[in-house]
Amino acid sequence: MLEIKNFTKSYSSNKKDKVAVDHLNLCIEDGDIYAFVGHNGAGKTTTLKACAGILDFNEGDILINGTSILTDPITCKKQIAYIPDNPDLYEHLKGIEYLNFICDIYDVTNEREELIKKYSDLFQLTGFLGNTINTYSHGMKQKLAIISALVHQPKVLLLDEPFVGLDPESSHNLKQIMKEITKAGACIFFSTHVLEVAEKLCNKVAVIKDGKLVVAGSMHKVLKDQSLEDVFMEYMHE
Amino acid sequence: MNKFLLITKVNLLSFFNFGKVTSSKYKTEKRRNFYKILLLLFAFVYLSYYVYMMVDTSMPNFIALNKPTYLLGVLFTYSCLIILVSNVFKVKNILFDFKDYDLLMSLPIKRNIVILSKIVSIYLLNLLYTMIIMIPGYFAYIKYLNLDSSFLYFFLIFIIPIVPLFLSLIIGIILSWLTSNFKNKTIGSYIVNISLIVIVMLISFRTDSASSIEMANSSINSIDKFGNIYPLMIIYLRLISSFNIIDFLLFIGVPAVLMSIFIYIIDIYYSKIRLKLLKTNVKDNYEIKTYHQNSALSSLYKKELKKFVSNSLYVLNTIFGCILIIVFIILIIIFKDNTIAKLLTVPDLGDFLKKYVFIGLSLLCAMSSTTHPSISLEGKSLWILKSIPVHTDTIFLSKILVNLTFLIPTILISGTFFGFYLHLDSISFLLIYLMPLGYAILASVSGLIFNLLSPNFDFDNEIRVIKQSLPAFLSIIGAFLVVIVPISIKEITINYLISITASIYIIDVILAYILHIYGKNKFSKL
Repeated sequence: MLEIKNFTKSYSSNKKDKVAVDHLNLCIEDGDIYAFVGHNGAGKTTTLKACAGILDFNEGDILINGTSILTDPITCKKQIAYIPDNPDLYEHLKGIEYLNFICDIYDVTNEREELIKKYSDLFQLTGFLGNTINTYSHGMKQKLAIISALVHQPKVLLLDEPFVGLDPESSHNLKQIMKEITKAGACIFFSTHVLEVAEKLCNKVAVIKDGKLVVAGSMHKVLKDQSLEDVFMEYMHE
Repeated sequence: MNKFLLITKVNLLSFFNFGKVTSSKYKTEKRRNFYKILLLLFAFVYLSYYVYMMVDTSMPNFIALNKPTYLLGVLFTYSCLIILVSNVFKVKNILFDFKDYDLLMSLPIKRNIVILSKIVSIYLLNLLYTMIIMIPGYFAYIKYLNLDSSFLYFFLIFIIPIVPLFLSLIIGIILSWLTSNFKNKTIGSYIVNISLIVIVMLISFRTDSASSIEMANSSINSIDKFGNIYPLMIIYLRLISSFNIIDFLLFIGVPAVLMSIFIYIIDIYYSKIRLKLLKTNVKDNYEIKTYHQNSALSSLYKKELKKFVSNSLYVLNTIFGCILIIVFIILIIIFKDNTIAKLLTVPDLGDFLKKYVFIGLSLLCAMSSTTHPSISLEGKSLWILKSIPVHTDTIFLSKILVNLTFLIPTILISGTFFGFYLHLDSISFLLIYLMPLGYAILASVSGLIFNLLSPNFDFDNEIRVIKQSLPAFLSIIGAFLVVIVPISIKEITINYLISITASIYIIDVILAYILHIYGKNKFSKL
């Protein structure tokens, strides 16, 4: 479970503080596929990065299964997988070396080879794992980032625009995996601009505007009889 | 023409980052960039002063030999060699693998305009190097003698970089072409780059500064020899002695023609050359194999080591001293004392080494820091280190261990060699290991602190953070200060060296503590 409590992040510029995210409260429960939507610069990436322990923040707390990312980041990070919007990986490593690096860090000992094979076969990347990452296309890097996030079987998945760069088959496979792992008890919090995907895939949604949460809750309650696109446009023009 | 000027302006702004001083939103970044420019200016002034002093000291010897203009020939030669060497490794990035390639090629601009703008940008940078050498040389020269054609002298400075730059571009393309044929491009790159540096070192031994009559004479002979292979230098010497229209036309015409031909040919074969240089071997038949579990530290260390050895620029600009010391030892073994003593212009190699070997090895270790760019080099993949469940100290340690992986074997090999070669007593023998090791740890830890103080994740070329950054500058200056200042205070005795070593280890502990507290905090804010 991921709990975001009163989360506030501001950046200082010329002695003035610009608030990127303002007192955000959200709870992503086990089994949730939670969509996080908003315009460019609304604060989605900032929130996801803070949840992953990448970004310091000014106020509030973020709890991963009850443990604060501020006081015990290592315990929290062991349960998290984060995929950024742009898969900047270690270009000098081979694909397989990167996956083994991640497995070493997350202590994946049992079934390591099986897990790597399972996911890289699914994303049709196995044959290319012997090449260095700098030879990969954007889509291949995105697939590798996804595989690396899945091999250590995280309890909380934080995904920033995970479908960008994926071919239709990989995109479909990722959606299936998202459903499978949430069924197994994990939770997923992901940002996206593809509202149709969010509407079909997620059971919950949060809309953020200028760093402030405008609406959050179960998909059917937020949508009522409208599409997510209509709801989103309404809130954006309020 | 407008398009050409526009691209060149963008290239230069991006290279010098001047825009960040005025346009940065953040005051701290603005201030940091301002300090960077101040430091660059300081380096500019310092180097100019150094050249001035060198010419000022050498000038009487050249006057005594009745060949004063040859001293300007020495400066000319230095300028050419610096330009020749410093650009060879950059050619691939400058002309074929630049960051904005896709953008520029998609614009309605002729390719030769893009090529010309890239060459002009690098020419302007090299003009700066030439000015640092030639302008102070002029002022030191006119302190002793009149130069009839002062205006011509300054005008010719603009022409000097063109031919060495042309040669550098040609050599760079050939070397990149050769490297691209190696199955393992990194090893190929090492072989080619190190060979070139050794050749340049051998040449530079023959064009040394001239602080005595004998050395001035030797420089004059070297300049004559250099003139035989590079006639433009003889023309240059003739021109600054007395103006001659044919020489003048030759001096500006030859570079212009050569560069025009180069741009014309490169434009024709651009796609072919680019394809060849950027060729990558991709396989699609990998099969998953069994892998042995590593600890987090070991895995981070391996990742860091791979990053280091896969980048020949990183290696050659950080631990080249280690390679040099091993080459030096091999030279002593092959050529024996006398030849090396002559080369170093010292009467007795044994006496010289006994006095300076501790300092030499310590300076080498203090200056060899792979850590000062190691945080910045994480670049846009920094998110990985920040999101994985590993303590920051472990990350720092993995970076420090990479530096020590190269320095400790160098200390062991060179310490053991010099220990036996110089018949050191047991205390000195121990000290020849411990003193450089203390400095090696100092360089590793302080390098990380410097990088955390001034990280740069937004570089367009890795050489910017490896060689041309504030942490790189601080590491070199810091190394000089911590090694040279203690030995300038007091006469070198073994007891004094022991005290210095003990102090260095105390500083190591303090710095490690600072890294643990301050570094962790700073890393979390990146």
